[in-house]
Amino acid sequence: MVITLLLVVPVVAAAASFAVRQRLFSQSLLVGVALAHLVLTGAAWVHPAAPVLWGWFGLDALGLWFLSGLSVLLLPTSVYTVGYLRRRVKGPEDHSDSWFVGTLLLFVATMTAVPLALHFELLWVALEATTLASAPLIYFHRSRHAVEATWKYLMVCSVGIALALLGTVFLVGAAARAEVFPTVSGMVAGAGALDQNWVRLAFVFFVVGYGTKMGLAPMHAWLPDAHSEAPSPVSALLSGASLNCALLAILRCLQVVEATGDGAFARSVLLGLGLVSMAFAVVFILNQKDFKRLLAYSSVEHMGIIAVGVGLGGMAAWGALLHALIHGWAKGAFFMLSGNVLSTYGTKEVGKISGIARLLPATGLLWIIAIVVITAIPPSGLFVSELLILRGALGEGRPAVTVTFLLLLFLAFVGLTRVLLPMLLGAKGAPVAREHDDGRDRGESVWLVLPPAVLMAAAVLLGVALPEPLRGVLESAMLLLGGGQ
Amino acid sequence: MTLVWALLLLLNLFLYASSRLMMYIRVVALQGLLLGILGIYQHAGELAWSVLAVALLSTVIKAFLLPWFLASTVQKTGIRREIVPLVGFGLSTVIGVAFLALALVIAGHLDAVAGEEAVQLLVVAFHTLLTGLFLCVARAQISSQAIGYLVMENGVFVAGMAFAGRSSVVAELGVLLDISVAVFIMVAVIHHVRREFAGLDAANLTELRD
Repeated sequence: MVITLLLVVPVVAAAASFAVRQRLFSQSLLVGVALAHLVLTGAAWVHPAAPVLWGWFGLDALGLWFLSGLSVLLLPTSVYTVGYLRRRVKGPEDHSDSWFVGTLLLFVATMTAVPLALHFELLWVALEATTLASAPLIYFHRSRHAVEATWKYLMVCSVGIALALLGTVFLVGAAARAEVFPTVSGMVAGAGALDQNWVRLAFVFFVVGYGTKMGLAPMHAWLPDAHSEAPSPVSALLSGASLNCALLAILRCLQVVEATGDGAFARSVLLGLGLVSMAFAVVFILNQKDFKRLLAYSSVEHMGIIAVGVGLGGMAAWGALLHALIHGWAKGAFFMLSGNVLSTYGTKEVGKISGIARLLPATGLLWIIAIVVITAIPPSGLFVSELLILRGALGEGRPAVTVTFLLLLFLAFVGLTRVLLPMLLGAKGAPVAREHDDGRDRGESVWLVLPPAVLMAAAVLLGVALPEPLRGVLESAMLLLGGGQ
Repeated sequence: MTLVWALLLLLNLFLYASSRLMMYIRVVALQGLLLGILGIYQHAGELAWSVLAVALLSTVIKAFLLPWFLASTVQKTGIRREIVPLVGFGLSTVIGVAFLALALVIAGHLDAVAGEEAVQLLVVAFHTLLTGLFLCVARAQISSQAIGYLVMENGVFVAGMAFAGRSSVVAELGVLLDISVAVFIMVAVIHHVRREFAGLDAANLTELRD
């Protein structure tokens, strides 16, 4: 029941938003759906959700972990979106609020389907659908740059995901030959009968294909464009949730690979790509002049960190799962703040922005906290997860990996703070007059400040203490990740 | 069936040498039709109505609906008809043949695990996939990139045939839906690109960079 509702409610709401075309209705609908999403996910924590459609959709611990990440991000994002739409000055050719909310809800529906999909083909369908639903959102603003970013996003991710479909074909084919069910649990249970070669080949295509969507270098080229050109609430969901969806798809394949006893190979692939991604990201972070692109490259870096953690396994993989959750919330919050800054200053160029702290006091305060959280300074939850990954690396006896990892973290820290901190201080940088400025509030309303504050608080709280139920689910998820049932 | 495989490979090679957008679309349509025939032939033994219905639907969409949609877009909008190659047509054809050799080598390596009949299908699959990728990279207009994507998907479809007990009807419908929606959205974005950049040259789409 819970799973059916989770799959159906956002779609129905999207249809309603398109049909009714009423501003207030759409906005309240969005918040309502986000609330329902959170309640339903909460229900799944209390009572295990029964699978539907012959077990093609279901909720295991790993799915629940990622679903919860999405669900917690969603409510603040929807509140922020209402504030964003209220502030927006609509141009003559722009889409209506109802269109935006409807498409956003479709995007949410597809991202909800990913952690619920246990059948490998449906997983692909859901992930490709996240690309399709989010592409129109990126060019909501109809600028040249937004159109360019949309095309690259659509094309690069579609081509990448087509390769993941080939991987899926190999995996499902291997299942068919071994006469096991092509679901995650089915394949893990019947792993003994699977042909290791096909599974291994499938994993390679999964990593290349879904890795594109996850933003792993060198397949990340589309990411900084799309994440920086999209409207800020959409950027928040892209970086905070859709990257994790692609990560989960890779982890699903890893479960099967582990079960066939080939885990070491798969993990070394992830470890290597993770370090490469971190290195790529650091190069671009150090020379960045556009603060939304900077945040986007930081997402590439964090996806790299997660891949390294999963690749190391054990305690590091535990840290990686924690990192995925917290990074999603923190980056979502940071993109919301960046939206406040962008709408006030009318530019993404770092050199033209100073004095956020004086012009936008609340956003300024949260900006500092966001820098602390995203660069993993205590009490950020990311500090804990990165520490776990580091301890995992040391425990595995990988000094070279540990040193490289630390060095890249340090460089990213320098790059991020060097750009983001000076924006806070300085003279009250005269904001560039916005196009069609009609003197409405310029950056800060409760709608726009409270949501990132809540998310940031959550990101810090998980660093202070990991509640017992979360620990339990994380333990079960770790078992699954190791190829267990 | 060997005839169909050979035809599919020939169509691929034709794509490397062709210089007209409409020809691309026709080739993709023909590919869709051949894949449909191949798919229905494969299922001929079982004749479950649902499987047959999906195979028919898939053929209609890939061989008629999507190509018709692309062709009518080209006609209506006056998109430039001739392809601008980034890699010359002669060299392209050579690359196409080299890809065929590559596909043979890759599929040959999978001989032991795939079985003989499947290997032939895999050759076609890999070659089609590589052809699609090539069109995405080596042709200047973004409209050819969209067609390259369709060709890639066709390649994946052939790979799926290499495994006898294939996917379920529901999943196949989902994949079909995704691909169709993808093409529709791509065309919508192509319209926007045309308006913003006064042309479809992918080289224009380089304003975003670090």
